[in-house]
Amino acid sequence: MKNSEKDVSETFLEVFLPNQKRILSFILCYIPNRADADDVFQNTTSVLWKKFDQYTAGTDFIAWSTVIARYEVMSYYKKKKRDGKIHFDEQMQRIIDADMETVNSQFDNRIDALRKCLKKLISDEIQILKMRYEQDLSFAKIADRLSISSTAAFKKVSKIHSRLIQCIRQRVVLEKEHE
Amino acid sequence: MNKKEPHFVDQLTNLFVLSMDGTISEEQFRILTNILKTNTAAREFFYDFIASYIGLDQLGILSEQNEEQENWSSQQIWDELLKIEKTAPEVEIPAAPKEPEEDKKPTENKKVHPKVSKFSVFSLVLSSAALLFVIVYAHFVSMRRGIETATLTDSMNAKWADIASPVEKGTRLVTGEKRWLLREGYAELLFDNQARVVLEGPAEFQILAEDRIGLSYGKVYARVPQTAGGFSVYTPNAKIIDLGTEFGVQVEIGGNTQLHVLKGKTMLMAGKTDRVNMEISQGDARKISGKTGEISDICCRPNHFVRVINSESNCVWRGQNLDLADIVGGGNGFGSGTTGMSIDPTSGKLSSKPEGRRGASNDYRLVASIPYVDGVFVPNGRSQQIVSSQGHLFQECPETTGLTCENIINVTANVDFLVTQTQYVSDASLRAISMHANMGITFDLQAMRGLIKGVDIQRFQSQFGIRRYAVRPSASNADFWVLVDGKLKFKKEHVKIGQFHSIDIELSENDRFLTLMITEGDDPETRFLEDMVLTAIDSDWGIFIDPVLVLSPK
Repeated sequence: MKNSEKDVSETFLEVFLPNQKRILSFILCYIPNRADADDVFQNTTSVLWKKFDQYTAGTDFIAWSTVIARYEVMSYYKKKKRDGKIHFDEQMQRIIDADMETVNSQFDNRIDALRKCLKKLISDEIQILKMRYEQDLSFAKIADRLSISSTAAFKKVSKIHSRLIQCIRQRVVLEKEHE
Repeated sequence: MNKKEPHFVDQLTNLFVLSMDGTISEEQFRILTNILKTNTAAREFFYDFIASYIGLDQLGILSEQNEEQENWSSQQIWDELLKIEKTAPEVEIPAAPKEPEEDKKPTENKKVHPKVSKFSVFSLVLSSAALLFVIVYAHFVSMRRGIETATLTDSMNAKWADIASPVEKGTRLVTGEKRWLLREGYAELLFDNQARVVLEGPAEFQILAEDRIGLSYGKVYARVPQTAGGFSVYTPNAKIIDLGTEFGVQVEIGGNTQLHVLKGKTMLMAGKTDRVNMEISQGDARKISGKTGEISDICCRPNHFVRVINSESNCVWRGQNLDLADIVGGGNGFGSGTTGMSIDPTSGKLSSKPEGRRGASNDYRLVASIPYVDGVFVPNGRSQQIVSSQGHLFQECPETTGLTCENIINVTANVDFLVTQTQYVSDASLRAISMHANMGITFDLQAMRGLIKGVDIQRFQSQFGIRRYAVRPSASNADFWVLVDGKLKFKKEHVKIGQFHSIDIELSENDRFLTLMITEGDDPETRFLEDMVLTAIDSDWGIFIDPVLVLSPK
């Protein structure tokens, strides 16, 4: 690899790696389906790399990358529309567009809140989340581990999520009030 | 449904989880969309859910959670939730969504169906049982934050992104969310369980646990002793679990993961919603697509990863052989030597301007300037022939005129080596040692072992013949000798131009010195050829082509 190419790849990594989860989060807001969002994320990454020469160093990388991610999301939607598969309609996408600036600005607050809220879970609940997200176990596998039905495993995971988002909401609202 | 029903957020969350899982029905998705369109508060919960999903699934926040959670009782949680409920925004929730049915397993729609034999399945079941223990143990017992678990044992030309807290030899690395970005160069980490990994920049990694490293990008090579079995490398789309082995993992910018197993075997777990487990054995490699999760066979590339580094000797070892010609050129055996550089057998000094024909005593001359060359000599067999600094003697040394010509030279073989009178080897990468009769050189194997720790010298291999340099080819006639600690291991007498031979000698860890020697082939002191008077060494341009020591990890 030539030095100049190496420099570009390094520079790309330096800005991309710390922001990749935000980009994935952005995509998930439009495509709340993990497998599909991953595909769009991969395409977005590829386009970001190809077009990196158009990015001006020192400017807002998230702003630049989410514009590209948005195009990739639109491309995904065109395909889904043709396939007749489940997707957010245009009205819903426009609503998310309008929300997105605030959503992006609150990402760190939400993550901070998540950290605090996790501490309020009991050990069993943390273990279930670890099965789901660290070990990537399906609901059926979690069910096997806990000797319960798949539906019960789904309910447990969903219930924990519900508690977490309620806790996160409360903390984010409280923080806003204190600002 | 009553807006104030206590579990309205639960029902909304059910829809989020089903959607994320790809198992939501069209009707459920329509309901979800309508709620999100019409209710700002529901959308706030939705965005909270996305952020928490990323936090749990991607940012490793769960691994920060201590095993001992705050001792909240279930009652306290319900009390807390009740408080939240009282302040929760109003949300219009329609009928409760359908939850997944028992037979509808959301993550069972497999994309990859590797064909495996019954035996493999049986092995996998056994391995999986062991694996299960490893995973459960690792996740529930040792995923604690801030525990010192690995030491930076060496680095070469390393540039770290975090210049505020330099990573130096001896730095202890702790488990947690910190992501280490090695911009360039190499770094070796030794985990406390004795698993050793070498990272090649640019690479971003994370110490996830005492036995686990996360790789976001770049290359890592792991050498895991039996005692550290279960050591794992996590990438964005795969987990590789050691089953007593050596393996390399590369995560490309586009998200693809490559796994190359060089020794033993590993367990590969790949896929996102669809988990596929397979055993990958020595010599095999797989690529896991970052886009589709699909697993494909690729060629195992043994030299693709840096396996060992040694900043003291400036060595980076990718599994290649150690090149003795490079050492003659003043290098470390891995390409740092100078072509054309030579050692004078009559003085032991380095020279780039070899002298012509000359006579010399058979003294053993130390080569002080190259640590891996012990000494050189001009064999004459008239008195005891010393062949090492430790006084090893070559008892069967033939009697010679004591004449020699030029030096022991690091050369390339593409222009010099003649397989037959008319056919050249054109591979420019072939290195060679040019040695005219009568000359000997002794390499210090022990010094070379210090170059790259953890690696054994297993064999000496080379080809040899007469260089086309010989201006009177028909006069060429030389004997080739290989000694280990003064003991004869190989000889080939009366080699003439156009003849081509191979050497392959096994070496043990107790062998200290390797000697290569060329003599004049029993030719008389004075001989006649085409009305010319020739010396015994005339046209005896010997050459060792691609002379290497074959290395293998211990």
